[in-house]
This record gives sequence, structure tokens and C-alpha cells, in this order.
Amino acid sequence: MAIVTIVGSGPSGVHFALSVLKKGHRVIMLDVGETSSSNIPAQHSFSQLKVELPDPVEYFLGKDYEAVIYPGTKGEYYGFPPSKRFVFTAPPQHRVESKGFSPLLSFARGGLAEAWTGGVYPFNEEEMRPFPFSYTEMRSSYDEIARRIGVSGVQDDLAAVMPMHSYLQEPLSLDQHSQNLLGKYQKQRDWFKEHLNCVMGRARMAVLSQDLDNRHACNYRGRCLWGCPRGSFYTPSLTLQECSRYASFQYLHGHFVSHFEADRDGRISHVVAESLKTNTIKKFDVDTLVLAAGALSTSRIFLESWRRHTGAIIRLTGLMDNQQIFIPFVNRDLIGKPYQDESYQYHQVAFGILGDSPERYLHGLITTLKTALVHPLIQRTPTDLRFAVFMFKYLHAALGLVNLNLSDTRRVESYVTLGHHRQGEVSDLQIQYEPASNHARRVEAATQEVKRVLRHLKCIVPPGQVHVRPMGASVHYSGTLPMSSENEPLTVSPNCQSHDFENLYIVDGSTFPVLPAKNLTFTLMANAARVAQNAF
Amino acid sequence: MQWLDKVLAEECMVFCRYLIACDPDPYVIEKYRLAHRLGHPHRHNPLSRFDEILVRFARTHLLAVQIVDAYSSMFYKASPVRSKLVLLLAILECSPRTFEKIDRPREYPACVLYSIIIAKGLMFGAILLTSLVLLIPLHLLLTTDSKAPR
Repeated sequence: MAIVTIVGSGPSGVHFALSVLKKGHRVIMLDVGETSSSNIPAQHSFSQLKVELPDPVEYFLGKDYEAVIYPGTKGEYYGFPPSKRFVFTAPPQHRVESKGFSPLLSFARGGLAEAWTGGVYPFNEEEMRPFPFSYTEMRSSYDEIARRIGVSGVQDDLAAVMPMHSYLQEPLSLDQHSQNLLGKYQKQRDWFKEHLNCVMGRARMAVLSQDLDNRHACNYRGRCLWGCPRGSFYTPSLTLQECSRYASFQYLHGHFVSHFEADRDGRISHVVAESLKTNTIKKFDVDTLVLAAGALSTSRIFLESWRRHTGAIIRLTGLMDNQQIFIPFVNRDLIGKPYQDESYQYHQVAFGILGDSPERYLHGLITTLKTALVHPLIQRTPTDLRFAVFMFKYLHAALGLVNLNLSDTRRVESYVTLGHHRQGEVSDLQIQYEPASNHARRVEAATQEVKRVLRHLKCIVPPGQVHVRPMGASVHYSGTLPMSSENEPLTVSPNCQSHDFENLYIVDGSTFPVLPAKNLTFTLMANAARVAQNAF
Repeated sequence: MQWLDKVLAEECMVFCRYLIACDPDPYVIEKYRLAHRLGHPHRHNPLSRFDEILVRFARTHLLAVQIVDAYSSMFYKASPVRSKLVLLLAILECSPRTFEKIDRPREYPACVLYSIIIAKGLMFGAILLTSLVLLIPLHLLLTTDSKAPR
């Protein structure tokens, strides 16, 4: 069996690796692999940590207080836990310039999905129509991934927009807020469907309600955002551990892959990486190379390789990302109630607003996150902080956040290319993103539709608090090396084999020809498994 | 340094009483001091004359903090006093003896709760007006002064 060299340990890379390992292939995985270790007792709830830890301020705010969000900082509604900062640590070789885009890259072991929110949203057949293979292939891959990672959920109204798959565990218990919202929807479900084209239901989540292998079911400690201590919440590093149990798997972390080298016939002979430990350049022989470094890093590797192979700097067009809009709200029914910290913390309810085409579908996740730091929220109230603290106590349980996703399509105006190049070093990555001409209208219309949904759920949207995130913030990057049935340059086949380099496969979001509104992580994993099944 | 620690401890005391109506424990005071030693919240940006006056004024009394904070909430969001208050709030929400004062509401009937909110809102309005009278002229004067040709 040929040796398969994989670059990247994110959701695509690890599921591809596991699939080919099961088939008997030998795998070498090259990765930067930033990681962090944590020795926080698993049994404590979020609130108990504040009492039981010897230095809770250091744990929650960081050694350098880096998690404190000050007034005047343009930012999100909640900061990132210090324990997850490793997800965004970048090696010095990585340099990006961007216009119209705020990219986030990860070099973490497990990739960006080490900080994802666990939503499992399979694409439906209509959404997959632009993909150059049949939906049946993807359906069996969705089943396989659900079996591997553990997905909990239920068949409800959301199944109208989100196909069912096998291996679904029982849903988790809903927190009080999510129960309230879903209850109100269910009393008026026909009205929602008829007048708002809206279906709502329980989010499908990559969280265990039953033990799976050596991972334990969620016990509602409320520490989801801070790092699940029981393995209940799936992250790709868990699958990386599973790969590591194979004798035929070699994980080489601490390597920053800069490019590959190919002969005149377009056959890749080596991949070149810098050891971050010794600062030396190493060449690894390649039989088959699989790029799974995420759309931006994969694009950079491809562009750098192309430059060195041909002398030309080219553009990879069609970069896509989901526009995300945060719409905070207050649920009138829960004002004055105490909040529940001992519950699953990420979104438990989701909704879809159907349009006349898959591109117009709006995908919303409703988070009733209670165990994020609250000072970023409290300071947003246009009052003195004493009053704000008082009010927040009575609003905390009633607060929610809709995270709304819009779809995207490939456009030539949005691309990645190489920027500044220093002799002997990796070139900078240059990103240009240009939204479609009707983008602002779409955002406004989508926001108004969601506000209507929330009004009918007796929720108030405070004026002036809707936050349209910068493009790039959703980190659902895709489209730069799309799948195509036509053998064209800078594309890949339906089985993600490069049309430019015969022994190159690309299995991350770079290859998606379209980006529906749904979070794509589950589909990334399924596609990687599909390619491994079909092509190896 | 000892002098600064003493000033920060006193500042922490006033600010903590203001935010959650209780005294900080030694853990909170030490965390507050440590943050300042690390450069928070100003990250070594020099304070303007107006900022210095605001900080000194705010330290003197609960009412003074409230006046400065009310003004900052509407007209000067990134003020150093507000930043210090937010820093302390972040510390308090993570600390064992104080997090529940931010998290846990007392139970009130709805009409009582809304009455309290309205009363506190009116109080905020009154404090805000006071802060406008006291601080706008000072803010303008010191801003103009710093721009005047020397």
C-alpha cells in the first residue's frame, strides 16, 4: 500500500486519515500541532470552579488578563477562554494580508474545530446539487461520521431542512430557556411555517448523551465553552488520538509545511516543511499527498508550490465564507429568573428560514450561553455599571443570541494569492474578499426576518445591538480549489484529486463549489471520509 | 511601589463597593493590583490631564465613581475609570466570594422588580445630569487646553 502524507490535523485531515488507516494504508501526518494541557478537575461545574480552583481569576481571565474585554474594543459578545488561545496561535512563518476579510487560521492539533460549537448540520440534496457527485455518496459518509463522533438529536421539524442520518443518540436535556423557546414555537408551528417560512427544532450536536468508546456522556457541568473535561463534546483531536493507535500512523507535529515539489510531469515527489523546533528545512518523500490544512493554508501551500514550479504567481478565485450576524435578544418569560449554569452551553435550538432557493435559506442557531464571561455584555448597557450589574442579574437567564448564517457563492473578485516574498522564506498570503453587490440588502432583509421570528417568540431585540460580523469571522472558508467534473486547471475531480498534480488530493473546504448557510464542519468530515472510501 | 499598592487597594475598595455593595477580599485586591502591575487597563498609554482628574476624583467616594461612570457610559466609553471598573468587574465575576453577587438575582415579584428598575433608572438619569454639569465643562476645557498653541 502507498504511503499517504497528509498535511493538517483538522476535521478533514483526521477523518481522512482514519478512513485510509482502516483500509490498511500507512499514513504520515505533518502538522504544526499547537496544543495545550490542562489539569482542571473534571467533576466541578462551571460555578464550582470559581470556588474550588486555587486561582480562578488566572484560569478564567488568563495569566496576562488577556480575556478581559475593555470598553471601546470592537468585538464580539463573548471573549475566547484563555484555555483555547492555543487554537489561534500562529507560527512566525505564517503572514497574511487581507482586504475585506478578517481571517482566522489555526495551527492547532485538531484545527479550528478545537474551538467549534458542535453543531451538526448535514447539507440536503438541493444544497449539494452543485457538487459533482451524487447525494447518495454523501449520505453514507454522514452516517459513518455520526457513528464515529457521536451525534445527539431528534427527528423534528428541522428534518425538513436537515436530512436524518443513522447513529443518532438521544438528545440532551434542554435548558429552561431552550425549552421555553421551543415550547412557544410548537404552539404556533403552523403559523411559523405558513407566515414566516420558518421551521425550528432541536439542534443536532456532536455531544454524547450516552458513553461512546472511552468517552463519557455529558453530565451538564456547563464547562463546554472552557473545554469539556469528559470527552463528551467532540473535537477532532479525539479522532487524532484514535489514529495514533494504529502502528501505521505517524504524527509529525512541529512542522510548518511551506510547499511541495513536483517533477516536470506534475508528479509530486516531496513535501517541504520547516521544523519549528530546530528551524531546519526538511523534505519528506511523497507517494500521495493530501492537503487538509484548511482552505486558506491549503491555498497558500498550493500557491507557493505553483510559484516555485512554474515561476508564476496566480490567484485562486472563489473564496467563500458565511456571513454571520449576531442578534441578541431578551426572552420576556425569563426576566428575573435565576439562570442555569449546569446545562449544555452551546446552541440547543436551531431554525431555518426557507427561501425560494438554497442560496436564500437562512440558518440560525440559538445560544442561551450562560457560562461565558459576563463583563463584555454588562458594559454594553448604556448606563453606569452599577445599574448595569443590577439589571444583568435579572436579565441573565433571559438572554439569548441568534447566530445567523447566510450562504455564499464563488466570485472571481474574492481570491487568495501570494503577497510579499522574501528570499528563502515563505511568501505572505494575500486575501481579497468582495461581497456580492446585493450583500448589504441581503443582510438587512435577513436580520428583519429573524427579528420577526423572535417577536413571535415574545423576545425583545435591544435596539442597536445587532452585530454583523466581519467577513472571515465565521471561519467557514471554502471554494478556492473547487470540485469539477471538467478537467480544468486549479480544480479537483469529484473525488478531490487535483487536475494539476496527479498524486495530490485536497480534502478540506477548498474544494467546495458552493457554500450553503449551514455550518460546514460535519460535511467537511463526511466529504473527507467519502474521498478516502472512493479513491483509496 | 508600596504607595501605589496602597492607592490601588483603596481604589479597589471604593470601586468594589460601588459595583456590588461589598468590600473586596484580599484575593480580589491582589488580583486587581497584579493586573495594574501588568499594565492593565491602560497598557502603558499615558493618561491625559482629564483622565488623571477623573481617576483621582472617582477614588474619593461612591458618589464620585457613579458620577464619572455615568458620564463615561454615554460620552467617554473608553475612559480609564470605566476601564478600571470593567477590569474589576471581570475579576469579581471569577472570584469565589463575589461571583454570586453578579450572577444570582434575589426573587422579587414582577411589579416590585420593574419598580426597582424604574427607580434605579431615574437615579441614573439624575446622576447623569449631575455629571454633565460637572464634567462637560472640565472635559472641554482640558481638551481645548491641550490643543491650544504653546
